Amino acid sequence: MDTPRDKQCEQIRNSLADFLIGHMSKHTKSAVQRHLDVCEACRNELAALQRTGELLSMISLPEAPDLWPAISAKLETRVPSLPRQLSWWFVRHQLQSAVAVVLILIISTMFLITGNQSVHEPRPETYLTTHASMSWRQPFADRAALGLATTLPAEIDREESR
Amino acid sequence: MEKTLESELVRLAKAGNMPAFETLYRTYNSRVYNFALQLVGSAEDARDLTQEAFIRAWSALPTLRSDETFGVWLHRIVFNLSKDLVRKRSKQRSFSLDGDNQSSNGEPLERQFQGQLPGPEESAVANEVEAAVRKAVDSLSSDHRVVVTMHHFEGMDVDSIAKILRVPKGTVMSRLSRAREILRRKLIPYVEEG
Repeated sequence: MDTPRDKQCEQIRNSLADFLIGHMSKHTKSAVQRHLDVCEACRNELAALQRTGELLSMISLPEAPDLWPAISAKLETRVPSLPRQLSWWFVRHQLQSAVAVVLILIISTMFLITGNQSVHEPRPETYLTTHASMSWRQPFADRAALGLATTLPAEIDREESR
Repeated sequence: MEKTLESELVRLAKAGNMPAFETLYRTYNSRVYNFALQLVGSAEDARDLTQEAFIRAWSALPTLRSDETFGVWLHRIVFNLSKDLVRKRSKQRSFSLDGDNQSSNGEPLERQFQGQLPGPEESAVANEVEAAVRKAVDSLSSDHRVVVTMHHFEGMDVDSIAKILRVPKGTVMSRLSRAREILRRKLIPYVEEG
């Protein structure tokens, strides 16, 4: 029949691997340490687990085959489409790339719109001629007309003379 | 490899310097191959996986962040590739990794280490112990075997292992603890006194 001490030892032994690796709270660790201080059987179990870890650390990795000739041959046959760093900059900085594209589109659109407006704006000479025709009866009421007093086209003079 | 030397090699390799990349390959080949071997169990698959991992690493080097170590990043590439391979193999035949001693090609895992054990010039006792430890590790489930390989054989810390496997640090520690308990029971003659 298991005594309370046996049950406690079983509980402690089940936690010794965690104790060794530090995977327990400070409170639990202290409780385990207090038990180990008075229980030789559990101390022996801890020692066995420690030796298991030591055995594992003794194992050297098996030798790996040399794959470099095959790897370098495959890398040399690859043809880069863009300079490595440039192509990966766009992949890596996707947000910045997207913002840059949007900005370029906006600026291009604004440029196109303002360019079209200048085509439809009346030429200065036409504007001045029209304005002068509308204001000639009250030349002194309109500063633009005053400025144009000497620049009326020949067509307006002919009209007045009729 | 010293961190500053490795950083310099990575910087050169990122700029397209092949000899620098070869040095990185020579540094990590053994670790990567053995990690791959534990993941897929077959020497042939481990070889393919290792080769593909380095080829992918060369292409993806510009994406390696400065706060990431090359080794951890490379292991993550291997881990992701191994998942693809296992998925592919499981479609080809009925196959399960966890709790199973079969490799991805169906052969018992114990056979994978044959031919790779210490030679006759080593002491007989050391040979016997090492063979027993390898056999015990081979018998672990995939989850346990992988963390034991990375922590005890490759010397990786728990944080790096957690990053590579994309599991919480506590999970790695639990797996290491459980693996140690299992191995302790399998290696009774070598770990118990008297």
